[in-house]
Order: sequence, then structure tokens, then C-alpha cells
Amino acid sequence: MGSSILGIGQSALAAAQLGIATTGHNIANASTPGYSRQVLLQAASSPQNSGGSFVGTGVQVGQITRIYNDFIGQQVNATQSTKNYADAYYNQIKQINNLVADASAGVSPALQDFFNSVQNLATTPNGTAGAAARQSVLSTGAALTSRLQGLQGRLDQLHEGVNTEIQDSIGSINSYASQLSELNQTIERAASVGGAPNDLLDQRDNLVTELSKLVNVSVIPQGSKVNIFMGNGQPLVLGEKAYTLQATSSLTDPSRVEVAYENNGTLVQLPESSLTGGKLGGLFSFRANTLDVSQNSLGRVAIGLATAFNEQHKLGQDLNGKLGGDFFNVGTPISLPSSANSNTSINISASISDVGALTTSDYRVQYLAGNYKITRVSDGGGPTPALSPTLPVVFDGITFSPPPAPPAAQPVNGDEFLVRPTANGATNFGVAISDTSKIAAATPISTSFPSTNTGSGKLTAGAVSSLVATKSTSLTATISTAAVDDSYVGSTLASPVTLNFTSPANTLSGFPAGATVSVKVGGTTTNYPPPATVPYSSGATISFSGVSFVIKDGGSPPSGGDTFTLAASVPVTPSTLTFNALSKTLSGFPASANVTITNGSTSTTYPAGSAVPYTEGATISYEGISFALSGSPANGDVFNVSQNASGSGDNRNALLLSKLQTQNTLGNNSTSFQGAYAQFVSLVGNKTHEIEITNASETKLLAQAVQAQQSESGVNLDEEAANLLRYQQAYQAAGKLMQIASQLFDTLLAIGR
Amino acid sequence: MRISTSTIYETGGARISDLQVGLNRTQQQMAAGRKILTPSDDPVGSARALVITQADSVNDQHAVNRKSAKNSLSIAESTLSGVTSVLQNVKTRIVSAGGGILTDTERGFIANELQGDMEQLLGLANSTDGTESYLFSGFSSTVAPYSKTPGGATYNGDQGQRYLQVDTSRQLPLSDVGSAIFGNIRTSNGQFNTVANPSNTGQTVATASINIPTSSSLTGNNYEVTFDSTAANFTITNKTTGAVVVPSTAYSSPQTVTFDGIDLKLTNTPGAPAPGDHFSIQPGNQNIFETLTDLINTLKTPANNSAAKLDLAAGLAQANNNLDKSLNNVLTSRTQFGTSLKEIDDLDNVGDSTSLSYKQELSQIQDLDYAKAITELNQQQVTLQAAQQSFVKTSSLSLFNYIN
Repeated sequence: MGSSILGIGQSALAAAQLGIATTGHNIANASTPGYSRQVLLQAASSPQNSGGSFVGTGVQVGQITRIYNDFIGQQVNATQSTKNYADAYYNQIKQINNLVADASAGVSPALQDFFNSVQNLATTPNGTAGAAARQSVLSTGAALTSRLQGLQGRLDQLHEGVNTEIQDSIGSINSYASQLSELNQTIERAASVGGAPNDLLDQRDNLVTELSKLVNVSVIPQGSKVNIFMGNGQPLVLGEKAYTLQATSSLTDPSRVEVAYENNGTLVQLPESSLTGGKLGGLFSFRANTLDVSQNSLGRVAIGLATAFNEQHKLGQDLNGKLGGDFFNVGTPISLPSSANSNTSINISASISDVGALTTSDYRVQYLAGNYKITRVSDGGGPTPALSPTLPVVFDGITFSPPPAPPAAQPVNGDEFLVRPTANGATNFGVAISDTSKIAAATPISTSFPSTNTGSGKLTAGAVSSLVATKSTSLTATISTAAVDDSYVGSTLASPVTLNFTSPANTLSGFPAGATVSVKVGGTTTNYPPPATVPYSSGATISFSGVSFVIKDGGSPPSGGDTFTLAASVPVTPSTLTFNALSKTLSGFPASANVTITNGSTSTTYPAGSAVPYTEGATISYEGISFALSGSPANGDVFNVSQNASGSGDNRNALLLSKLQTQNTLGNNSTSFQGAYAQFVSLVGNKTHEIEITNASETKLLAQAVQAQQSESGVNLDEEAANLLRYQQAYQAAGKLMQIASQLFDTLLAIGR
Repeated sequence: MRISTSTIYETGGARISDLQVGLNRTQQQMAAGRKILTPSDDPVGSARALVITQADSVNDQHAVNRKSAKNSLSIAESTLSGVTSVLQNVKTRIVSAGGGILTDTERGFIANELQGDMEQLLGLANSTDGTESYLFSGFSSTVAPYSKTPGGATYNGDQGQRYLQVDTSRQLPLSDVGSAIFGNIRTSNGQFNTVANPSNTGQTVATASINIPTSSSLTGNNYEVTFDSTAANFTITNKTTGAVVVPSTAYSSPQTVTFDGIDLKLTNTPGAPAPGDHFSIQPGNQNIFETLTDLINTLKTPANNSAAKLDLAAGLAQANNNLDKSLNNVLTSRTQFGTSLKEIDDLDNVGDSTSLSYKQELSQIQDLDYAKAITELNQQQVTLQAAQQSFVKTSSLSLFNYIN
């Protein structure tokens, strides 16, 4: 009996000691991250049958287990992923948000200063004050450049920062994966001995949580090991094997870091869409949805401003009497062939044909089974028809042009190109001229009438309406005023292009060498590669190298040998128009000029050499210039139209330039430059606001999940204090029991003495 | 429910940190005086603010333009007011020169005075604005509009008119073209003013028109056709230069003679010319300097016989007529300047109130309501203090304090 009491006491002592040790361990790890509290499981040991009654034999220590809830653990991991996603996004976008924060800083005031200086130029285009005004236009232009480029520079830094962070994250993921695979091994070995290695399990769960902060993962337990998968099911850890990720540069853009995955010795680039959640997901999402769009938005403002300003500037005349050149340097679209293409030296080209239609997206061009497929990256939209066997194709204001014609190598099935129309806009923006006299404030056309006129007919000042003059020798067919798009360069028509009409072949030839000609009949566009001979169809729109025009039958089609000429509209052909009161017509237009009379919304084009009726107030245009004649001229009254010879005080073009500030030139003529910039600021603001809210709510959710986990697994020191007291008393009681057992034994001995 | 010790510290700490963030934000708003610190605070508002800032800046620039326009127009207007008084002086002198009792010498004095008036007028026509550009030469603002010639003065400017953007959709001219102010004196409905001398006794009439192929050789000078004593031949003289342009030529009606870009047609109706008949040919459109030169020449010509007296009277009448037309031109331009100046004043008022409304709107969007902010700051301060104090109190509670 006595020995059994001692045995009970001893088991109680041991249990209490273990209890104190476990409590101590809990207290020690109260603030260890990922630690789950441990409890001692004890049970009464099997009783002994002693003649019909069972006598207890003391306490038996079962095992020490950790209080851990798998379900809550998974919830915490999932929330960590979303919270860190929002966190990473927010930390990045916050920087752009702060960058564009102040309405009195940023691009906006520089833009206003620039246009104010253009208005001041209109006030004083020449003389001493004019020199200052001209210098001020150049200086404010330079200030605008530095603002735009400064902003772009910060975006570039962010881009670099994202690259670095992605690389760091990949490094951490790899490190966690290898630690996890090692832990898997250790845990399996420990578990095989028996019991659960609580602290090792905590460590492993904590590593999974850390991993979840970087990327969204799923955990599949297998025995005592865990397998970890990410994204679309790429294994990261399989038992004792860890897979490594690598940072590689994007196929279509070497400056972008992407994640690649090594599979049987080959590197497979993971699509960004498969890496959701976590810091990595946040970084990718930020880069694709905010950084790229910001860069493109800024580029669009820069390209829009530079192109619109240049176009007007080129219609003007500078102080030296020369036609205005480019005022700004304009960024051009970049086209990047995928490094997975069969031949990476083949590249398509892209140019901007209409800044008004530009979006802030990039474009993917694929060559699929003999067809080019163009996709807008932002929303997957494309041109109609979606597939085109030949380029050029005009879509969203961009002309996508084919690679150089054979014998140069041609793309093969599956080749892919990325076109970024506005990404370079802000970087390449700059003031192209440094000589103040080259600012074209004047207009190259001058109109006048002599004092010998006896009627009251008056000419308006006139303007150059198109950079391209069109004329024709045909006595029946007419050529329209040429429309010039944003990709037109002056050198195209440095020498005039004369198109010859051949009959009965009914074709037009004589297009510049190397120019692909597009003909649009109805809604269908057909491309004719160089050397182009194009079938004639009355009313079809013919375009090449950014120039488009329409040739139409008059009473009858053109005759063989008729020519249609396109040339630079300046210098203006001097002409003297004479009014004939009998027939109410004007004569004296340059030979082979096709005169267009526009009255209100109706316009009529007259073939070369035919009498042009006089309509009071109507706009007369020919060879790229236009003016209006009003009043009642008398018979024989003459009106002179000529190149602006001096006119240094002419401010007509400066006025037109200054008006660009408030004109809606961007976004399909829905917004001004400032409006487009405001749109960009609003986009950043809205997204930041959205992410801010997501971040706040995810923080709350995470706090709740962690709290739920902690409420189950966390150490409460008061509870441990109570346990400590409990085990202490249990120990003391067990000691007392042993003392009593010993006293009982002594009593027995004393009986025998 | 169980709560772990670390939760107590974490949530307490997080809450205090949140409160501090809020407090810091309010403080920053108060320091900046704006409720929008970054676009994310109010994305729509900040975009709107950008657009309004531009509208405000454009409005300000239009005010600057108006000031320039006002300046130019005021100078032009006061110059033309000088021109008006000179022209009125000239008119007075013409009236006095017409008095029949004056001698040739006395008319010579008046001619000299008129010479001075013409110089003064030329000076006024060649006025510059404050920035050394000529007011009345159109776009050629570095070129003096009028330069003196034997026949008066010629216009060297062009017909361009400089406009300024004075409001969103309004452009106003800074001045007027010299040829419209000082020229444009129509002496006839035709291209030339061909007048038979009042002392003519024959019945031949002369008409002149431009010879288009040679129109480039037009001079703008005055000519005289004179029949000789037999009335069978005529001579044409450039009266301005004194050169004979058509030497004595036999006359047969109808006859067209071409010289210096002019087709002169002489026709009997049906009577023939009388000996000594003469015709004067002037451009149908004159400038004031030509008119004044003609006038001075007329006054300097001795009026010693009845024919010469008739010439004098006709010359004075024409000069008077021309001056009225010139005054009309000047007054038309002055009226236009006056109207523009008035419009600028009106636009200034509109611009000021527009600017005010822009600023108000901008202020509503982005400026801070201090009363509200201060209240908020106090509230946040109290909350933070309470949170800190209660945290210290609750976190110091521990069972271990009682174990000894």
C-alpha cells in the first residue's frame, strides 16, 4: 500500500513539475511570433483491482500539445496575403499620389505659364519687348519640359524600385521555401520518434504565414509534411524538395522584371495574372494598373501638347520669313519584339496618326496564321476586322506599319510585338528650337487689295489651312484639299509628288518610292505595297505617308494623262484675283488650282481653269491656303494673295497657338491638355483612395483574424500565472502526500520497535 | 472569451497609432490651410481644382491682354484726336484761302502753314506705341507707315490688323491700318477722277481706267491732258513730277492713249475740243497727304486770270471735299477705338467677377474650414489622451503583481 502511495505521489510530483515547465515555456514565449500556447494533457493512470474495488494509481502525463486551429490559421494566411497586397500597392501608389499632390506644383502651373507666355508673344511679337516675349516662350517651354521630365523621372525611379522589390521578394520566397523543405524533413524525423514537435510545427506555420505575406499560397498537408503551391498550382515546396523562382526580364520589355519558374531545367515565365495576392501580387498589379497608366497618361499629355503645338507652329512663319519648324520634340511610339520570337531582329513600326484618339494603353500585336491581330492591353479591344492580313492598320490613332518588305525577313506564325505609343512621351518631350527668331508667330500668307479698287470687296487676312497643296490638270475631275495627320513629316513632299492617271487602265501611279498606299472605298481599306499603282475609284480616300485626299469625277471621269499633284503649300503661289461683275466670277487663280468654295456647310470644288463664282462671305481655298472675300467688289477689282514678305508684327499664328490651351484636342476631342492631366491626377487620386480603403479594411480583417487566432492560441500571462499557482500547489500537495506516506511507513516501523 | 496578452498590447498600440495618424493629418491640414492634402483625399475635387486653376489663369492672362489692348488703343485714340484737330485746322485754312481778297503772296503764307500741318500729320501717322512699334502700319510694325514723296506720301505698311485675345471668345484689334485712316479718300466713283477744267469751252470728254496688262506701272500721280492752240494735238504731263509722259499727239475722236498703266479715252460729244482745253486725271482714291500736297500746289499757283481763279476755286472745293472724307475716315476709326475701349472696360468687369467666382469655387473645393478642424483636433486630442491613459492602466494589471 505504502509504495503505491509513494508511487502516486511521485507521479503527481512529476506531472506538476511538467506542468510548471510547460507554463514556464508559455510565459517565456508569450511574445514569440507564431507561438501557440502549449498545454499539458494528463489523465488518471489505470487503477489496480484490489479485491473488488479499483484503487487509483496516480496521474499519468499524456502529452504536451499546442492549441492550434488549422482553419483559423488558413484564414490568417489568406488575410495576410490580401493585406500585404493592399499594403504593397498602397506604399507605391502613395508616392505618385504625393508627387501630384499640389495643384500649385506639378505640370499644371508650368503648362499655364507656357501658354501665358505665348499670349504675351501675341501682344508683342517683335521689337525690344518682342525679344523678351520670345525668350519667355522658350524659357517657359524649357520649364514645362523639366516638370514633365522630372515627373517622368520619378515614375522611372518607381519602376526601378518595383523591379528591386520584386527581386527581393523572389529571394525571400526562395529562402522561405528552402527553410520549409528543411523543416518538413526535421519534423518528419521528430514525428517518427513519437509525439508532436510543437515548436517546430509553430515555426513551420509561421514560415507559411511569412510566405503568404509575399504571395498567395495554398497548403496541402501530406502526413507530417506540408506541400505548398502558388498561383496556378506551381509547387513551391513538395515535401523535402524546394523549387526556386527566378527573376527574369519580360519577353517584350527588358526593363521589366518578371517571375520565372524553373521546370526540368527550362525557365517558364509565370503570367503576372497567376501571381495574385501578397506583396508580389501588389507590386505586379501596381505596375500594370497604375504605373504604366500613369506613365502613358503623362506621355499622352506631352505628345498631345507637342504634336498639336507643332502642327500649328508649322503653319506659321518665323521672324526670318521661313516657315515654322517643330517647336517641341515629340516622343514616338516604341515597338518591342518578344524575345521568344523566331527572329528578334524583325520589328514592326508604329506612328501616331491622330493624337486626339490616343488612349493610355499599350498594344499587343500578334502575327497569327498569316494575319496581324492587334489587341489593346487595357481592355482587350481591337480594330474591326480583328484580323488583317497586311499592315498598315490604323487603330486608336496609331498607324501600325509592317516590318521592312521582303527580301528582309518576315514575321512567322506566333510572333508577338508590344507597342507602347505614349510611354516615351514625357521623356522625349523638349523644346526643339533655341533661336528666338524661329518662333513662328506670323502667318505665311498675306492678302491685300489696291486703292484703285472701286468696290467695297474686302479680303480676310487668310491662313494656311493645310501643309499640302493639291492641284490637278484635269478639266473634269477634282482633287480635294489634303488632310494631313499627325504622322506627316514635311520632308515627304520636299519635291512635289505627281500622280498620273492612266486610261483605260483606270489607275493612278507616281506615288513616292517606298510608300504604302491605302485606299478606302466605302468602309473597306485596301493596302497597296510599294511601288504602288492604285485603281482609280471616284470619291475614294487615298492616303500615304500621313497625307490623305479624295479624287472625284466632275461631269465625267479624268482623261488619260491627267495629273494630280501634291506639294508643300508654302511658299504661297502669288496670285491676283480679278472680279468680273458681268458673270459674277473670280479669275486669276494659279493654273491647275482646284478652287474650293465653302459657304456655310456646303462646299464645291471647281476643276482647274473653270470660272469660280463669287459668293459673298464664302471661304475660298486652294493649294492649301484659304481666305474669305466679302463686300461688293466692282468690275475689274483685284485682290492680291501672296507670301507674307515682312510682317514681323504679324501675330496671327501666335493667337492660334495660344488658343490651343483651351481647345479640346485629346481623348477624341473631349478634353484639353490640362484636362487630360487632371484626368491623370484624378485617376491616381481615385486609385489611391480605393487602395487606402481596401488597405484599411484588410488591416481590420487581419486584426480580427489574428485576434481570433490569438484568442485561441495566444498566451495569456494571467492565465499562466494561475496555472503556475495551480501546479505549484499541486507540487506542494504531492510533496505532502509523499511526506504522509513516509510518516505512515514510520508508524509501521514504530509498531515493530 | 479568451484574450491573449499580446493582443492586449497589439490592439492597444494599433489604436493609439491610428489616433496619432488622424491627429497628425488634422494638424497638417491646419498647417497647409487646405482640406485636400493629396489627390486621394478628394480625387474629383482635385481634378476639378486643376481645371479651375487653368480657367483662372487664362482669365488672368486675358486681363493682362486687355491691359495691353487698352494701352495701344488709348495711344491710337489720342493720336487720332491730334489728327482730327490738325484736319480741322486745315479746313479753317481752306475757308480763309477761299476769301477772294487774298493776294497770291498771302495764299503762299497759307500754303506754308499747310506745309507745317502736313509735316505734323505725317508725324502723327508715324507714331509708335510704348514698345517702339508703329501704330498704323499693320503687321509691318517695324516699318514707318508713311514716307514722303513729291506727290505727298506713300503707305509702306500692309493691310494686316493685329488682334488680341481679350476674352475667351473675343478678339479686338489693337489699332487700325494706316491706309484706312489716312488714305481711302474717294474722289470719284471710278478708278480715276478725270475732271474737265472749268474753263474748257470744247465738248470733248475724257475717261480713264486701268490698263490691266501694264497695271504694275501705275504711279498714283496726277496728270494733265492739254490741247494745244489748234486743238488738234494734245500733250499729257505728269503734274506731280512735271515730266511730259505723252508728247504732243494728233487727236482724232474717239482716241485711247495708254501711259503709266492708264487707258485714257478722249471722245467728242459730239463737239470737238477747244484750243487750250485741259483735263486733270487724279487717282480715284487718295490719301490725305496727296490731298494736302495738291492743295498746297493749288495755293502756290498764281491766280492772276479768270481761268486760274476758276482752277483755284475748283481746287479748294475739292480739297474741302476730300478733307471731309478724311475726317470721316479718322472719326470712323476713333469710333471703333472708343467702342473697343468701352468693351474692354465691360470685359474687365466681367473678368473680375469671373475671377472672383473661380477663386470662391476653388476655395470651396480645397480650403479648410478652420472651425471644424479645430473642433476635430480637440476631439482627437482628448481621445488620444484617454486611449493612452487607459492603455497604461489596463496593461499594468497582472496577476504576477500579486505573486511573491
